[in-house]
Amino acid sequence: MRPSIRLGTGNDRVWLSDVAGWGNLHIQTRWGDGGSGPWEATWEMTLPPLYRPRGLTTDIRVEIYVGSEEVFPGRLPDTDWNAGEFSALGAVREGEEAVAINGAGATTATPNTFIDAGISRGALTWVRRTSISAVSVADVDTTDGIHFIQPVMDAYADGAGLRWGVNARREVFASADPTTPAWYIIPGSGELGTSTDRMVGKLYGRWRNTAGTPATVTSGVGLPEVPVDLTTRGALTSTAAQSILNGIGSKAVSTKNFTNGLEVDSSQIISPGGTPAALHRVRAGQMVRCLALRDERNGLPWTDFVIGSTDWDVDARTISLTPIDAEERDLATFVEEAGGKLS
Amino acid sequence: MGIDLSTVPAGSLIFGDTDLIGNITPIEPLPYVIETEADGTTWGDADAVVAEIRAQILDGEVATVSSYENREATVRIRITGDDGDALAQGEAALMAEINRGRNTLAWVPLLSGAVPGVFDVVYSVLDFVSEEWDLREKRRRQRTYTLTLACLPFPRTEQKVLIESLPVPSTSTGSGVTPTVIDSGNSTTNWVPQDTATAAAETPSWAGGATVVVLRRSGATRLRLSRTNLSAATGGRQFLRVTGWGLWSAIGGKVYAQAKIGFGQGATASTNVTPVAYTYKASTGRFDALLYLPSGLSGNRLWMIMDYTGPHPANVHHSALGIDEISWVGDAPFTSTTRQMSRTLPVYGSARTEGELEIRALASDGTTPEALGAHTLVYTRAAGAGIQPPLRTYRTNGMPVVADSTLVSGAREPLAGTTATFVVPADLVKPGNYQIAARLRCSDTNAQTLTVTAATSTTDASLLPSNTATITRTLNFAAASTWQFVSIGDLTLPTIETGHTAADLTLTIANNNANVVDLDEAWLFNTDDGQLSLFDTSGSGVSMLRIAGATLDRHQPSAWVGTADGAAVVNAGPRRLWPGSHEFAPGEVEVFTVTTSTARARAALRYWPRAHTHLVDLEAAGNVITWVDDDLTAAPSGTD
Repeated sequence: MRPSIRLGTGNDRVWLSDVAGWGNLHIQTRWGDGGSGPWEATWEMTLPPLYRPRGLTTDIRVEIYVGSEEVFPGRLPDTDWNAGEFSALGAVREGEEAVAINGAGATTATPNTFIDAGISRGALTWVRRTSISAVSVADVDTTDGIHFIQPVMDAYADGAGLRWGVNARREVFASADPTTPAWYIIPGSGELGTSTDRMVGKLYGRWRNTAGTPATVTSGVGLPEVPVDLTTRGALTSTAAQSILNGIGSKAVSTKNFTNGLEVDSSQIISPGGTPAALHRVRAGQMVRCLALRDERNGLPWTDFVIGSTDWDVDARTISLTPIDAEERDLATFVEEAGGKLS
Repeated sequence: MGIDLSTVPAGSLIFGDTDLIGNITPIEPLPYVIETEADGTTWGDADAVVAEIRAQILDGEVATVSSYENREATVRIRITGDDGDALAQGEAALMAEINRGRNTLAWVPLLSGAVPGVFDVVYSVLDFVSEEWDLREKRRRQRTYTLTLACLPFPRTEQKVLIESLPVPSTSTGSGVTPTVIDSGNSTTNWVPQDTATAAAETPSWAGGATVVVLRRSGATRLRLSRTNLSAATGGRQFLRVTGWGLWSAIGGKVYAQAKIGFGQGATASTNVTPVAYTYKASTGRFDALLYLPSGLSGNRLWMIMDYTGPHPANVHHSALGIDEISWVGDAPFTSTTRQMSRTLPVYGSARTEGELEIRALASDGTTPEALGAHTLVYTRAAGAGIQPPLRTYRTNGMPVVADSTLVSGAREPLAGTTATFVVPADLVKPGNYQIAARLRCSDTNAQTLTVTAATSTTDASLLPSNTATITRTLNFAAASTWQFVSIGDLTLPTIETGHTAADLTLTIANNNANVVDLDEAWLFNTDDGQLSLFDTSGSGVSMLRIAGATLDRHQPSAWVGTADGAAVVNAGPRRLWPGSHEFAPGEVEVFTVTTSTARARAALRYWPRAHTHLVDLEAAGNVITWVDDDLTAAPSGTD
């Protein structure tokens, strides 16, 4: 079934098809830093010059449905009318423009608190069904700094070893990477480029406690050994230091060194039971298994990877899948993101 | 267009209102004549847009035609006139048609018996032919042009066809509500076995209890049985209900429930009776059929014909058909109310066409509009494409069911301790993406988490790995104690493909809080094959819903609500909750609807039959056709 785009809220809701013709829809989802979930949707409309259809106002809510299922929740920021290209941002992107404060307006780094406050003052269209965390995120400066929600949630997720995001139903979540494949990709659908560099075997992190006493934590095994300076994070507890180093390690320790992704159509991506996938159900954050593609990292006759981003080309009926962290392969980037620096 | 195509002679070509052949007498005499030269005139080709499917076959390519492009028709036109001004006037007449933008090109083929076809012209262009133009003009007083028309790929009939579904059988009058049992399966009197002329006959037996059984050992895949001298219906009862079971066994003794029971009446089994409701449970082999016989049973003889439906007829060893009970009943379906119904409507023509689907509700008098209900759900697909959406008919377990005739399924049950379980024969579930939807009511507006699981099982459990798929959906019902449609989620089904083994797909629906949510009906909609829409049709005046496909005039699909007599029609606007884009391919289209209030919804299709280049005379083929004009806001024609 073809997706349909709906604009607006309440009784002012209108289906885009009733307003003007549109096509060339792409829907992108992401999993990883910066937020996970439906990320961006773009489409084109050919409009007469200076024609501004009713309903396409700035910041209007956008929802894309396939049948009865919502696949993309978002809003439409400023648009390029002349080019006729429209780009809606996924609900998770609201975290880039809402600040982390509590109901009284004071800065806070407790996820449950600032999410609920954001929802209640209308800065977020999210729904929080379960607790994300009732504990203030470590090392977020709430005295001198006022932060956007997105980097604070990134810091929380890194520390907890999870990924945070907002799903197609606008529900905010934090969950770990999956370990079982949701889809299989049939043999011959493409090759995954891997780097021959092995970035890190065992990490050694140097940190200081509140008394200023330095100590070392380790993460991973084998060669090469890489020292990391975590003293730039300020005073830490041993638990926090271990957690930060584990976070860097999980991204860098040779489990995610793909350099490219795949483009497949629905005949190439199937459920484990053998049925071709409906492309709207393939999303970043799911694990796929490339059958008959030998995994150079561990010698298995298939390769599993967690999808980091997808781009569904609705008209062409294909979807591009990129493994998570495929672009960010640089160890220095991972360390800097965690607030440390390579020694 | 102004010219009525039914009056023009064969071999006519009409562009808009302009005759291009010159064999139609004009209303007022014209100083010029426009004619068409066959040499240089062509209807063009509808080029297929081929989409390649990536496949692993060794040689060749797998591809599918996703659509067709416009065709370019070329007409070589010759204008003849007395002087130069007459020729210019002829050219101006052609330009007037071209300036209309969208237009029509009607062609009545040369041979008698052909019907007029109309090409929808998207735009047209005129070119002056400069070859020997001076000689033509001076010596023959003619100018020649090439008219190029970009047309939609498939021509159509002049008027639209209106197809209406049969009215819902009305419930019987009088006291005929309780069933009258006319055979309780406790005697072989009047039971006649398989015809002796065709194959080995087996005499029906009665093994005690309440079932008449016939058993064949010959390995045949069809088994027939008939009951003569059945009592006629009384008290206005119009439905004949037959219950029983049908099973097959293979060499080696495995028993399979893969059968379809057909029915016939009269002296020979050839007078088919199609059940209005029929269920066959793969878990037990039991069937339950309801036949609509308002005029009674012909010859007082009922035939039951059991056919093997599995994929390996060579493995069939024994077959057994048992009949428990035959009774006359007064009321319609037993597993549902007629608020949910499936009908098959023909799409004439040989090419895909856009059309309008109309659902309307009329009261039992056949003329008074009746409200559709708070919601109307429409699901369309090509006929015969797989499992019927309603799941309650496959229910095997759950909390105690409470009959409630105001609901869609006629019953409800709470989602609580004993999980609502539905077992569907996996053969019926065509592989693809399915959306699970349900009509539910919650006693409060707190968050509820619904969980649906799906798992495939076979008679040999060691064959299958664990294959349970789960969806969870957390939601707050908008209002307490109000029935609403909920989309629970998508599933890829079956969870594992099974070959010829008799396999079942088991679905369960549960809620995290017990006894808070009630289930009326749940549905499985294949979204690869079909299109699904849900509308808010609340309002006592809303007795009609119309869904229209995209056309040249209106480039996007649209939906309308109004009154069943067509007196008022407005755009559905925000009433469209789940948007589907309904398509009508030639053959038959199955329209499944759910209306929450009326039990008498009727479906009608209005479309132009289209063909590749030449249209078939539909009425000469024996069809009874209702022709209508193309007017989106016109009243639907005909009442009961």
